[in-house]
Amino acid sequence: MRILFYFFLMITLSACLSLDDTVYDRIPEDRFPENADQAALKVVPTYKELADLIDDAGWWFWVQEVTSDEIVFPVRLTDWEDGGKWYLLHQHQWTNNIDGVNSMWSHLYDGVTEANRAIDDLEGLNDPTTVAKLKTLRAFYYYLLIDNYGDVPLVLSFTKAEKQPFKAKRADIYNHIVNDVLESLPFLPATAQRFAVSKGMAYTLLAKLYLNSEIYTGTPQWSLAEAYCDSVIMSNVYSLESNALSPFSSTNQASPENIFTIPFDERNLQGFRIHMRTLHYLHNRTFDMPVGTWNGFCAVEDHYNSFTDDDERKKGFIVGPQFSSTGQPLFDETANAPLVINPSVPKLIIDGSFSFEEIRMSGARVGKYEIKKGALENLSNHFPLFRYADVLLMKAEAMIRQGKNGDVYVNLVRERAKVSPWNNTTLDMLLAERGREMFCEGHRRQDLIRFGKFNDAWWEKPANGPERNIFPIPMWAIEANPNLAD
Amino acid sequence: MKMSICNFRLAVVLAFFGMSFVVAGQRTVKGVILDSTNEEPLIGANILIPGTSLGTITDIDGNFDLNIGADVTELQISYAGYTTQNVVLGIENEFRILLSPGKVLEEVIVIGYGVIKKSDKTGAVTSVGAEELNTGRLSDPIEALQGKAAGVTVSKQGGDPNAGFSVNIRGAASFTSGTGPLFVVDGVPGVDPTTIAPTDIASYNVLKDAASTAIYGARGANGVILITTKTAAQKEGDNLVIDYSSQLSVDNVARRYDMLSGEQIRDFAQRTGRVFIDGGANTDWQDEIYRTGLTQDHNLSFMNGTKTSNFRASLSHMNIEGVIRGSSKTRSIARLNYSQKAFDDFMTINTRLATTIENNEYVNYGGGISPTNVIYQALRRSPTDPVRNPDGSLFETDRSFQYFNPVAIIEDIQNNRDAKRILGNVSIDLNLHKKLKGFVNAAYMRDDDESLYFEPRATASNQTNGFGRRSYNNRTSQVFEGTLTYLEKIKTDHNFSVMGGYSYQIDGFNGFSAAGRNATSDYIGANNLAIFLDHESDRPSGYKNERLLISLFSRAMYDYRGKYLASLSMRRDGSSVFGTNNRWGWFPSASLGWNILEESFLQDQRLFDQLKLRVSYGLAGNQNIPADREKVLFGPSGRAINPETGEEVINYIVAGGTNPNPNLRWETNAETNIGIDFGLWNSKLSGSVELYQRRTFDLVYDFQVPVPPNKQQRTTGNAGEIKNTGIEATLQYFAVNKPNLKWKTLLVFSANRQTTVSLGSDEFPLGEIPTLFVSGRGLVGGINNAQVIRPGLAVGTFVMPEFAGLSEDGKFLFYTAAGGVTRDVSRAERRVVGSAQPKFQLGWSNFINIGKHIDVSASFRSIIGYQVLNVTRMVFSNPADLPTLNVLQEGLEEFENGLTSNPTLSSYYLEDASFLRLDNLSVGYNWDVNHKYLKNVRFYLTGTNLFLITGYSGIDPEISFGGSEFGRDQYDVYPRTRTITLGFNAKF
Repeated sequence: MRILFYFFLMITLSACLSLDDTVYDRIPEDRFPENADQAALKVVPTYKELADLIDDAGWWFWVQEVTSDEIVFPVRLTDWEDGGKWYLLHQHQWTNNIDGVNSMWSHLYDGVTEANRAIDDLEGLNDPTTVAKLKTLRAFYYYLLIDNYGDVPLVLSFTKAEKQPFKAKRADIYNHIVNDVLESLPFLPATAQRFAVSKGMAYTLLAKLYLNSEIYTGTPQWSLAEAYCDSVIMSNVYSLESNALSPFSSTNQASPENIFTIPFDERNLQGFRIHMRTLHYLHNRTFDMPVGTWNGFCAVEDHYNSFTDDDERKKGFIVGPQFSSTGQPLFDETANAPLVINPSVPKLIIDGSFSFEEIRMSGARVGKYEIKKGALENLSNHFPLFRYADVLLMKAEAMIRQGKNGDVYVNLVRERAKVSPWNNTTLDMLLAERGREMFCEGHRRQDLIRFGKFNDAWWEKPANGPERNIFPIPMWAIEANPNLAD
Repeated sequence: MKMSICNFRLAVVLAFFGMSFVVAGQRTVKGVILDSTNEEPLIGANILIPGTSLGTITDIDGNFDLNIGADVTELQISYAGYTTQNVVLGIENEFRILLSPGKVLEEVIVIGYGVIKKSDKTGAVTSVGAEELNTGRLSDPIEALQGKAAGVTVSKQGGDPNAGFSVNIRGAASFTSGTGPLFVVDGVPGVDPTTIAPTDIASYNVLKDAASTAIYGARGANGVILITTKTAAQKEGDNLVIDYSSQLSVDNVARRYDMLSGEQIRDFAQRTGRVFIDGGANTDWQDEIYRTGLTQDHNLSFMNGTKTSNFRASLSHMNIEGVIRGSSKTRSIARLNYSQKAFDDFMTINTRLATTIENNEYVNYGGGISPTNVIYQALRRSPTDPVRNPDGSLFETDRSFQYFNPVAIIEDIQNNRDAKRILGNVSIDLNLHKKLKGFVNAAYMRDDDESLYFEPRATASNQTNGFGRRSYNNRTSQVFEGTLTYLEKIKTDHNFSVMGGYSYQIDGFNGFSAAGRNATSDYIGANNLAIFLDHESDRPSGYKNERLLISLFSRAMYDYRGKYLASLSMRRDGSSVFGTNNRWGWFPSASLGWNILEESFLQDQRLFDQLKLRVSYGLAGNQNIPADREKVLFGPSGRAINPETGEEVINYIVAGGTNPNPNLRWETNAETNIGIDFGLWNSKLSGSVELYQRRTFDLVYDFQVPVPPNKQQRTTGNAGEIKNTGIEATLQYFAVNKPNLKWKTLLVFSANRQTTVSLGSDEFPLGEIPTLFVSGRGLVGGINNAQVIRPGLAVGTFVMPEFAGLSEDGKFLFYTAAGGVTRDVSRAERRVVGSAQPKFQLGWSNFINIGKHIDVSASFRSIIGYQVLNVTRMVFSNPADLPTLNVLQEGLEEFENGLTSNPTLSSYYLEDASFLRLDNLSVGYNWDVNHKYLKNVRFYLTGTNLFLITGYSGIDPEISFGGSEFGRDQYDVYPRTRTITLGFNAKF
């Protein structure tokens, strides 16, 4: 009896002192995944982190473009000053505590960490296909990390990671991820959704890594780069569109030219706001947009002028008098003048000494990504990370660098753009052609570095030393992990 | 001492014999001892057999019983602060004894889980009774306490009736866990005080030092405010009182922004030849958004007390029209307090039930540069723009990005909330034994609110072709508490009480929200979300979680002849929000008191009638940590595309913006308090002085952690320490005390010095925290935070570029670290240029009675020695905005000064904000009617915020002194009002 009494007393007491709260609106760790559907979606977070790279959440895209010679965010009186986060990138004066440098680091590692978590969870489940996809995607994030930051921590597990990891050498990471992709290739599907990891995506990633091998490791790998371009070409999965701007249309979901894309959707997968940043305040009347646009970036004038008038790709710029969707000329009340976009940009910092027309209407705007009528704040165009035309130009470059003639592949791209074919294409010509074809797709910084031009002077940017070829590890990351300091 | 113990033994022996031989000359006398003025029971009054040390004390209901010998003919009744009385014993055995206050009226103060005599208090506890509170138009009952309690800062930036007050006790500091105190209403912890009608409040008792609040454990760190609501006294006969009061208030904007007029702008355009489109009108946009607000407030209560039961029921209704058109608050409160004695005096059952219904209409005046911010839009809007087109529709034009007519925003946008709150509790006091008291309390609280927001499609500021949202939030709290108190008295010298208790609280949070865009009907709006074509852009969402707090606590109190006092308490708190490795914490306290006047060597002095020294030390916690920061939980994070199939899917990721931390724990506050209570010249002057040092450590913060390997950049953890040192003084002086003129004056003073001792730890390295970000149109400069939290500085210290004059061409110059000046703000040295922490605060209240009928009260409040960053001036004195947009008069002055820089964060915009305000001036006429039914009538006239003396150039210097960043006036201040209230009160 007495034992029974104490038993009940203990039960009562422990119930009185139990702090187990119930979680209702999220799933506890030990209950996730609940079902096969949830389990099948374990790869989704790794993919989803890509969507943050294009706008100012993850900054990768803007960092590539704004530090290059093709895109500029001029300060328009008080707009776009933003504490210098745009023009300091343009002038190659960034610090280790600037938005672009800070956010690109955390968002690229977001992808790595989500991949690691999913790979950890799949351990022992005998699912080599999913692991192969995740490792290839993780290699893609590491490719961008070493491309931008050089030596970075190589973390390959979420649960077994060191608390304060040290940096690994850029070349070691390069070797590791090349190896990961090579090992994954046999398990990857030959065809897949354009936004999923496929053999074509992995070939292109390898081609990119080999093409930049000299930068990453000191040893060039031109023949391997060419070989993996050939793998893409000979897979017969991809082809050039007949229209140079079709791969960027608002219905480019199935474009045969795109190898690996981010499947943006104005509602379901947001993060593509390039039109908001480039269009003049009044342009929402042109495109019947319910939201007000922000009158920001434009093409660097020299870059705009590198397109000949017969170049189909020049239609990707918005210049000249502007009209509403019903054909009425737009009038800018602040400037007290009709809205006429002028490709000329007077200065990087267009201050009060310039006219309102110069402040508000300068610079060719980017219409390469089609802005559909009624576009919202986010576009639904899929964003090409890897594209077939790029592979053709990479193939040409690898050939030229090996002393071969790359005209055939360059001319496939030029003829598609309705410009005259070339003979004996040189590396300088190729870089210029890459500039036109790959304009505003996030490749320019890497190309300029590989061609040795990134430290040159250009419009409103002085020449500088090669230390600017990689970004510093953000101050906050070093404060939180002192092991990253050396 | 030895004698007493011998006497005690003798008494026990005598008592034993006495019990055996009652007929042989022993009897038991019983009684109750009450205050003669209000017939409230006196707790702990001494009953002594003269010439002996035999006796007893009264219990918490004022009752006593005592065995006495037949030869005893007299009892001596004494109570500190009351005239000692000798009662001659006759044949009767039951007594009702009324003691009249002699020296100081001995007050009873409420402490955590108990009530004590004021003379027995050992901690820093301030008690403010209803008669000393502010009156007039109170949007929130806590406003009544403003300036009345030393060390208690009740503040609000601006005069929005829908915004709450920030209450900060002794510079409470925390980065993320909140700095508001715990409110305990009639013993129920965690009650929202806005659910109480100001007229229902009997007293506030503020527990300030950690020794006093430690009994509330992990919730005590920011202080505890105990609110007691009114009820009737239990006494013989029919004591019905019906009370009706009604007041009407008129609110006007006290100070306005001094903007340019249409003529000034035209003149400027003409003078400078700048391009300008004249809208043709002369509009004062502040006139268009402000109004005179009328407030009605009605209160009806009735109460009655019999010998065994008492109740009070009240009903209040208030409707405040805000001075910005479109903002209002309507609140109705019903409350019933009922107590019933049962089984003689064995138990008392108390029930309390309160319901609040509140309706709010909001206008958006915060949020910086926002298309719907009415203050921002009104200030920048050109006075040459008309309000309406000739056809009566609202005029819109496109002078600037997101330039919208504020009248349209007010008239078109619906933004309201309907809140219901209930609080019910049942508590039972048990007299288990003469020396053993039990108490159990069960309470249930529930807050429900529903919000509706609608922007019609035609409103220019709306960019989604009509937007509507409805949301529902619900919070519940269930509390069960029980205590046992054992009282022991060893002769009359040693008094003990030991209390032990258990508390269980479960709080639930639950809600959902749904919205739509692309409206098809402005008439229906958000009343039926089915009118929206687009439900994809804003998906429905919901949340539901709970938190548990379980506590065991005990307190022992001892006094020796009321001369030496000691109190020890210990609480063990467990909370489900703490990490799994740190679920339970200990919160001990100790305090000592010495009533110096009880010492025999001071018996002959006549100067003091009260002199007490108190010392205390304790630990209290702050457990206001968001729930579920310690666990790994997976939750939906928006939509994504399944890369295999291309289908839309829900993306599940580890929820939350921080990494889970199983070591997360409460913040701890360790505080030493030394206090002196004194009364001089028969308490003509009385008061207390407190000195304290408070160390708050294990501060909760979202620390930056290594990425990789962490997913999130931040983890909520504990590190760092903040120290507060301060002095508080309360003085009460009966300046005049004549039959026809009485003047009582009350002065409260407090000064607090705060230092951040350390930030971060080995696990969570942290150098400094930039805070107080400012934003505004045209604001340039990279680092727009005006304050920095770093070791050696107080929270609220302004660290920013120091203004060094204007250059020849009108550019701002700033000092550099090298001692020179620069026009490049990014090269300026960021210096300590001021602080939003006040040097000291004063409250001065006066209560004057003239003749039989007239009473006057006046309450002044002053906060001295702090700065406010006037971002409104920064943004609205930019001459570059002229003549397109409107600016302050200062904008014109800046133009004359030749300023050509854009607004830049610097000490140029930092202003001293010290102020003296007449919070409250009230004149009343009181008439004791002495009619059969009507007992008393009173009329009064109260003015609130009648004058303000300050050097601050903005509309109001007062800011909300709470949280980890304050001191910014960023065109987001709802104008403070000057209020005149006419009131009427009748007692039946």
